[in-house]
Amino acid sequence: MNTNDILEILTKNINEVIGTSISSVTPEMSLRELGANSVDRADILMQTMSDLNVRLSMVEFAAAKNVGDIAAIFHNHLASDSQ
Amino acid sequence: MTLNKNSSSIFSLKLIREEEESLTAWLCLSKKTLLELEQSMFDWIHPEEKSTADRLTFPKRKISYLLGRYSAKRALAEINPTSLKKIFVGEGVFNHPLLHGTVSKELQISIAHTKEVGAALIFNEAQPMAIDIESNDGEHSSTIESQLTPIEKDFLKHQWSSTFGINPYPWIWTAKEALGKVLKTGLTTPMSLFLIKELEVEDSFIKATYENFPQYKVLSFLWNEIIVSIVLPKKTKMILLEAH
Repeated sequence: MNTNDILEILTKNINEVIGTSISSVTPEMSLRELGANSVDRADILMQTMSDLNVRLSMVEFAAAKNVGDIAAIFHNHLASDSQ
Repeated sequence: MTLNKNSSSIFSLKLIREEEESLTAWLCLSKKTLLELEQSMFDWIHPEEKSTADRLTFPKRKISYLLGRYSAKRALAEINPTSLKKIFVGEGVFNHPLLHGTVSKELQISIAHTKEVGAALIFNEAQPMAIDIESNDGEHSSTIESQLTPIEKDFLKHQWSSTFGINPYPWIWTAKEALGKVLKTGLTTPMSLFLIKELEVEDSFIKATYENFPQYKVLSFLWNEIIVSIVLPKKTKMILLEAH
């Protein structure tokens, strides 16, 4: 699975949780600018973890500034899991 | 404690501490649509705030931004009603709100929002405070529960009472988030560090203390099915009075 696949999953979950209808979230967008509050953010991350069948601590996303960073964190975890 | 009002409520918070002069903080809770906010904004919005709002593309972000500023200005109006458009609610490096242009440099602000409800707390920096709010509908309960430690789940199971009329999961989220705000770390700090120690009903509030931050407590109440949690120094007594 590559980062674009993960971005697609994130887009789906962002739209579901926040109620947006974005066709494609770009990596530069932040969840905050999309309108997510803290619990929305947790919802989006939890749903994405479920979709990707991974379990990460929320703290691992603390430094993520935008959706691209979030996707990269997921991608790195998946890549290290597969090794 | 359940307080029910229409679209906005202003409260004065009398803060009493032994051997100290009492202080007053101001709280505004507002329920507004984006249209209502945009129609009223020219009465209170600072040019920098307007410029920021104009750049916000997504409606949910725009409403949260304007709700926070509107609630802040309404609370500030209790202190000085004539210069609201000269006060700018900006942000610090941790996205924490900062007041610019107030007469007193000691004034601090905490902002929260959920759905179409905004909250702003204006207080003197001598008594650090913060606020968080969440809907009592329990929409996010399963996510919140997944973030709790087994000890916390057990704690809520045994200490929480249905007579509180408040859903425990959004409540504990507001208690933790408000603590994160007063510490200016937000939830970038592991939530498990914000462990609740004790819980009781005091003066119509749900009062809780923290295991790892004994200098603070949180007082919570319900407003129009919105859980409101205010963190303040543990030894400070708070009397909440509805101004209008």
